[in-house]
Amino acid sequence: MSYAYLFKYIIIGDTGVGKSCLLLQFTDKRFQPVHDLTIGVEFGARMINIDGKQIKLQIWDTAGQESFRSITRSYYRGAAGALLVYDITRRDTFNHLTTWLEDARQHSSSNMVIMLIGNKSDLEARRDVKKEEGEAFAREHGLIFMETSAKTAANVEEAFINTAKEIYQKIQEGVFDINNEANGIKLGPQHSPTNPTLPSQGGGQQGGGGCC
Amino acid sequence: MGQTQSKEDFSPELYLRMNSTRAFRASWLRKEGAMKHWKEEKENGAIYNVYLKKVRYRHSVPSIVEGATPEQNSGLEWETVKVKTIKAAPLEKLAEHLPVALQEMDSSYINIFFCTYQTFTNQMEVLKILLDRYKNHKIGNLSKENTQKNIRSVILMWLDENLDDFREPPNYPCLSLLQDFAREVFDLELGERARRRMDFFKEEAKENEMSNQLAFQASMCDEVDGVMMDNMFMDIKNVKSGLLAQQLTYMDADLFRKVNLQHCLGGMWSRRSKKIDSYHDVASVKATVTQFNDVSNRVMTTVIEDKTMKPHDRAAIIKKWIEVAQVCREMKNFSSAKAIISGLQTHPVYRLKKVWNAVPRAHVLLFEDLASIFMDDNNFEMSRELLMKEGTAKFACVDSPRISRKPILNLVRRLSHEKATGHRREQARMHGTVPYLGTFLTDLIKIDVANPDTIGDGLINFEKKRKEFEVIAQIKLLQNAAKNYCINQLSEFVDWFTNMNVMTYAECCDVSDEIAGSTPSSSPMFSTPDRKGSAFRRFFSYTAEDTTKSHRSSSSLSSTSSTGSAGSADTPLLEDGMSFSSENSPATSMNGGENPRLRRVEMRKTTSGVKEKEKLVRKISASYSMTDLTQLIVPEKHKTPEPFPSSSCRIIRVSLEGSEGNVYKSIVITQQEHTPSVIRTAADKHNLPPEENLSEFMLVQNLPMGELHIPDNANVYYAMNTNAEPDFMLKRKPPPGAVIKRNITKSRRTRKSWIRDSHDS
Repeated sequence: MSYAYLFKYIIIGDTGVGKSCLLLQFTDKRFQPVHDLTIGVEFGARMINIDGKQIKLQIWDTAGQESFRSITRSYYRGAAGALLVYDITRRDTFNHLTTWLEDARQHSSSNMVIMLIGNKSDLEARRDVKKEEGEAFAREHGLIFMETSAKTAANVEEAFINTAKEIYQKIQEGVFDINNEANGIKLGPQHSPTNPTLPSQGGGQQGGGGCC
Repeated sequence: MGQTQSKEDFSPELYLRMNSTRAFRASWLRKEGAMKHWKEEKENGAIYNVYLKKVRYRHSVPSIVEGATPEQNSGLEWETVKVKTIKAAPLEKLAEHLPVALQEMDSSYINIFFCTYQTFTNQMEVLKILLDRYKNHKIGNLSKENTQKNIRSVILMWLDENLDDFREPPNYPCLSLLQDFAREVFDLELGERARRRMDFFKEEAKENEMSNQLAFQASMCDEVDGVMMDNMFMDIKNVKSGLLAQQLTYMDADLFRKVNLQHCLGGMWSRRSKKIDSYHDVASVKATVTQFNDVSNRVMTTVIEDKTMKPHDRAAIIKKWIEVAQVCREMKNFSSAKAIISGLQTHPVYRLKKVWNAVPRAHVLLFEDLASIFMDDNNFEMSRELLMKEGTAKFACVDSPRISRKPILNLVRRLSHEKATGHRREQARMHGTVPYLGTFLTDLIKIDVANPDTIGDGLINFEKKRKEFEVIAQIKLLQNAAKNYCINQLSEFVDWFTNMNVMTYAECCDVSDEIAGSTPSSSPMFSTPDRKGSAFRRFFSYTAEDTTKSHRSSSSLSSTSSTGSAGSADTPLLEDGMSFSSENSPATSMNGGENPRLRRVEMRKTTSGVKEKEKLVRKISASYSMTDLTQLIVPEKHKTPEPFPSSSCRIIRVSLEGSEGNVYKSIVITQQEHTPSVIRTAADKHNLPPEENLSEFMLVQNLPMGELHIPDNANVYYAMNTNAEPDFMLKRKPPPGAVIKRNITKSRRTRKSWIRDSHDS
């Protein structure tokens, strides 16, 4: 299916906050994982519609590797949006947000739209982090904020779509240079102004943003 | 240039190529694996999948298919057989199927079961069921003899293959039970095996204790300066790359072989932070993660640590690590290769533009090549493909077409040559494999998330276990391949590796800032909030006395504290989150509100920024972390209560009358929501039995002054009181004439407890 834009998203946050569940909930509720021994399991792309434009969201998730420090440049690089997830029933996951945020900012393009997500809102009874705290954190760091439940699907669509809207708005405002794919945005095939050229390697010490 | 680099991510050609390979593989698999799902069958409380499988007809072997006689089959090339597999079943059925599977020579079932059972039960439960069936010999249509014989074989297989399951110090309950059982049924051999296992474990535990004591004494010695003075690894850039790679590989391979496969399962690994019981401990996987991070950390530290170093020398160290990574990759040690690349890609190292400019061009190209192997693009396609291709092969094929540019090729050949001849260890040429475990862990978590644990009435979803086993089997295969390394460990290397003075990520960032000329490191959009906190986050436990290192100049101090003042929260790093240090440093985390005294101490430290204190903390190898949320939380009085965030729908909380405590369910109600549907949803969520007559229930909102009864057919959205908390209760309608008073007091109590709870949290 053709699309006008492709946005790359990443999902970050502590172990067990429900990153994969969020993604699964968003990509397909009746999901059957593509399971091919040679490629591995994957889920992570969906088409959405903003302002009558088809937008493909390509979402990367490295759940299970949080404690490897390998989630560095290559993961953050070229992401237009990031979902920074914590678990409202576990305060420690909220406390780690600053670290995640710092990491994301250091390794990604400065225009990356980051949405803060307090997941597991269905577990109201076990809530450990107040909604107001999430809001305050988001305000302070200039993030969009939402509480979701991957289990009941509450706000899951909204989280992904609002992030896309924000990115789309930035494109409209000209903040994002859509021709610089390091920003994690790609024009759809039929919209490409020029034929894509063969990729050539860039310098190792240079990247999208965040470098001095 | 970042622009051109990332075009690669989205290049349509790449996608096309990818997709076509994938499609090709899929079609190939279909032809060969070829099982067609036919139907589902229910039998004795279990669900079975029935497949039709097309197999090549073999004339020599009599067919086992019903009604297929040799005469009928002459001239046949293919035949279809029925394959029945368990899809979901209760635990007892699954365990009982073990001896049956043995009878049917279906060893994969037994393998899958013993590789995954800890996600739904434990060893004792399984053992008890097996022993019980042995005594009562009542499994399906197996004869008494076969039942007993097969159960015994299953247990023996279990003892041999999954030895770790029985390592349950100090009492080894399963092995004890097994010994008792063996005595009871006069099975001398079984009893003897169980006894030997137990002796083995006890011996092992004793040895461990001894070596721990030794390690402790050794760590005391490390306090003495100069222990490392003449260690050749101190001058890393002059150590042979091959030697470094071999030594790293020795450590990696050892840890990888010890990985308990059950620990990798999504259900165990992803929930590791929540479960406390001992057999959900995933230490063996954590050990590999720690090693990976240790390597990354050491790479980073060696590049950063000496502030006075010239860019040229720093470049020489980077160059060395690139070479080591290449040799690791050639030795098929993907773990350390990735760890080294990650270390070089970390912010403090990667940003040092001047230094990278001094790295020879060929090395930079090689670095990019190596980095591209581990790129997360396309679901790690590159590293997966390599692993599949070389995982169990004897040699890596490093002259792959990817490395076509001449300078790299020459460099690669030189390194390969150096490794082969420069060392007397010729036999090390045949290599094992150490994969990067992370990719597998992600796969397993995704399988875990995408498939329910139970089907129907709590039947264990064994189909999920099969899927998990496909991944586990790959790891198992590689574990065997990892035995193929022949490397001797050098004590000098171990000394260097374990005693090195490793800097934390935050410390590296600070020093890197200085090296790079104190330009703000992050993007202008971002006001770096917590450098001040991060310096105190975590300290390595074995830090020898050192005065020159990571001594921040006063200028950097003032700059960090000024950026720091804009900041928000000091974030404790726990090992699960963004752990950056070894797990043997005990991390203590305290919530800001709970320990004001500590917080004050910490505050004073951060404001004064006295280095000596930091050093002291390091020395006692404590690791402080704290939460200071005071700046985050909006003061109580400024808060406007906003229980209904959006106008088109509201979330209400519905508790069930009579249920103890604070159990309530959140329900989204729209403007069209009427009482019956809300009651139905609430009843569903509270798991009321379906036979309950819902017209006997009513919905009330708990208000401070009492209850608000929502009329039976009202629009709840408009009927509710929006000035109060959206706390509702589902309760039985009082019989006509009953007193309502009782309900009011009750509602007061719940209300109070709710307030208390919200204050506590």
